[in-house]
Amino acid sequence: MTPSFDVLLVEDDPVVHEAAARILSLEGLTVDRAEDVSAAVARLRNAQHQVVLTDLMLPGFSGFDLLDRLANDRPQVPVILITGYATIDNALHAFKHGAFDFLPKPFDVAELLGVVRRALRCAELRWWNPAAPARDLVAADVAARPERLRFLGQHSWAAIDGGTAVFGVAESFPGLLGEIRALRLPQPGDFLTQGLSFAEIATADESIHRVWAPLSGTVIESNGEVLETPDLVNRLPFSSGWLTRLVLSALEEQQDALTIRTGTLAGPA
Amino acid sequence: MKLRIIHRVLAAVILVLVAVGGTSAWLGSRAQQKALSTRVERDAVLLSNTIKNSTRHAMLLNEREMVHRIIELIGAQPELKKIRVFNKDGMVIYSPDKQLIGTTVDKHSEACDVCHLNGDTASGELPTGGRTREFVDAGGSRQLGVISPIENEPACWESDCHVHSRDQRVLGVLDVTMSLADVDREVASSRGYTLLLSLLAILAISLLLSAFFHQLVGRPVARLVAATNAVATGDLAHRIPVTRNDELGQLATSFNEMTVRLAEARSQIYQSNKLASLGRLAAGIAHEINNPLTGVLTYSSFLLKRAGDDPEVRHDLETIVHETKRCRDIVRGLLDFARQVPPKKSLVDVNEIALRALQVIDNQLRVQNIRVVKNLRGDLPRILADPNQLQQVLINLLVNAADAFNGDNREIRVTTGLGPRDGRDMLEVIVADNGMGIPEKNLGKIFEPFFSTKENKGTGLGLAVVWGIVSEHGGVVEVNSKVGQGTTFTIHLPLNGAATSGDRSAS
Repeated sequence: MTPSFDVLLVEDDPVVHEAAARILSLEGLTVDRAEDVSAAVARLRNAQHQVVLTDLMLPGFSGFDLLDRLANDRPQVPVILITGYATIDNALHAFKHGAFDFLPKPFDVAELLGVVRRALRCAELRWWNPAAPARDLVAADVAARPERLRFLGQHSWAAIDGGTAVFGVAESFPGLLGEIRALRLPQPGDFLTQGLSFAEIATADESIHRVWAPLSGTVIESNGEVLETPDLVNRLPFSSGWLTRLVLSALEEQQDALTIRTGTLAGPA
Repeated sequence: MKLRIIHRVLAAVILVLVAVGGTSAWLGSRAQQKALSTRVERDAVLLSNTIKNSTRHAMLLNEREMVHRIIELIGAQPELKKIRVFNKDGMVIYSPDKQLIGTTVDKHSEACDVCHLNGDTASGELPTGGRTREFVDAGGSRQLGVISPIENEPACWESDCHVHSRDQRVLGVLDVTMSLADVDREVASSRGYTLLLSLLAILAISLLLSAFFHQLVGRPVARLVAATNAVATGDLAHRIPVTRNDELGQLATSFNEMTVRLAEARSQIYQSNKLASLGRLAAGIAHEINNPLTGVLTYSSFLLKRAGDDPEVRHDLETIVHETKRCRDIVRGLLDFARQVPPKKSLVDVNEIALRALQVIDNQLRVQNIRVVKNLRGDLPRILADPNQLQQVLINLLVNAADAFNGDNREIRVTTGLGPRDGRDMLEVIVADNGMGIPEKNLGKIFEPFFSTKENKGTGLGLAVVWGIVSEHGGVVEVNSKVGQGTTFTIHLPLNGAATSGDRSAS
């Protein structure tokens, strides 16, 4: 029988590698390790892995190469990219290529565990499909208006209405977070940059989950209802569980990063 | 070596003076000499006639003693050098100088040359104008000789003495020689006087010219040279005092303007180069430091998570986690700064961006009790720019201004408009505060990354980001500040590719 691991960690820096491996292990997760893409491919061939956590900048092939390969060979495995450069382009690129999420360095324990646990749960439930969401949450959210939604991968969405938009979380959060302890949302007047963190979700397992903004703009208001009842993020992420409303600053240049889901949105309007 | 030009000008002026003065002096002296000589000659001719006329009677009576006495009397005048009366054979028959009487003069001597051109018999008529001659005597002084022939006349051959026959045409020659020494002396003294005057004039003109030149040209040129040297050695703060309105004054003004532009250009290039290399350095460091920071942050946050209830340990670990996260924020700021993302430009309304930026930090301004005065020009053309980056620029400037207050009267003025810069119209965005101002020694540093006067507040990247973004847009940031009065940041953005609202509606 082939050995099975929760996480395949691909990281060339020994300090980060060791730290991430130790923390994940101490949390009770089984960790398989590789220092570069070739070694990772060899490990993938010889063992089962629930989640792949890979650095972006690696000697030889990059994390993006591994991501592309996995999206082809093992589409059911969520891939989390560790990025040294927390740049907008990397983030957008990662989602376009089917990444589950990305984790900018330096991260703390709560952020690391948050994203890994969320991916693990997604993999365990067999909900992950990098090409298209495996579960039609939009259709399930009866109040959602899918024709207005634009998605940043399966990570977040924006409902655009003229020069304003509403942001919320997409499939990689609801049902995967467990009990939500607190939400931290931006204040009116805050400027959000596409691809950078705009919301933090703290969960009962002492994890932090970051939400990256699908577009840039200035915040008008954040959803008071979801702040009081954070579980709306789990239950109605496309309607009442929206997070922030804002005035968009550069829709035309930025909307290419987002996807419009045709076909899968055949649910009731 | 210095002031060679004055030497050349002086040489030229002196040359001209000498040429003009010398020629006129020479011409004058010649004219004078001629006039004087003519006078002497006239005197000599007059005297010759006088002698002939006064001795005529005595001669006709053949009263030789009488003739002698008359000639002696006339010859006593000092101006008269010599009086001689020759007979046809060239023998002196009368002269005040008794020793000369009886001597014979060779036909080849100077006095005879006039008529006896070839040394033989006289050629009839004495040529008119040829009766006078000038020569230098043995003593070296010039003499004027006048010869007048004593012609035969009926009274001579009809007189009782029968000395002269009727056939003779010329009976003898009267030669009067007068000294030209007086004339020469007078001319020489007048020439010396002219020379002295000329020298004095040249000296005076040279001195005057030197003084004028020194004052009008030499000193300003020396100042220009000194300024050029100062600029050449890098002192771009050097200015020439402009005190005049002439060409040199204009040159000084142009020079000063050029130096100001040079200083600006140099500081821009310096700043850009510095920022570019700092950006690369920062990106490199940020990349390298991210891994160790990840180690520190993960381990410390993990330890904190497992620290239990010991408040002291928790506190220490919390400090480590907090400070590490602060490092993370700094690194992220650095990466934001170093991230050389070319601006994603679209046609934007800068007024709109300014309003949005104000809206973003409206809360902060209200809490800090800061009054905002907006003066946004209505017909501002749209320009090609990255709206997010421009908004970032304005927010950074506003935050910077908001942190500049320590008194009660707090006001930020945001102005947009058009203004000329470097000879072309540019869009201007001005953010001015009446806060505490920036000391002059810090003005050159404020755009440097990590330069901050706010203790533990901010990353020191705000203005560096402003500089970077504005430079990427082909613009310029200008800062003016007076301690105690406030600071004004002016952003100049190019209008290229811009379309005014009028153009847009027309097309």
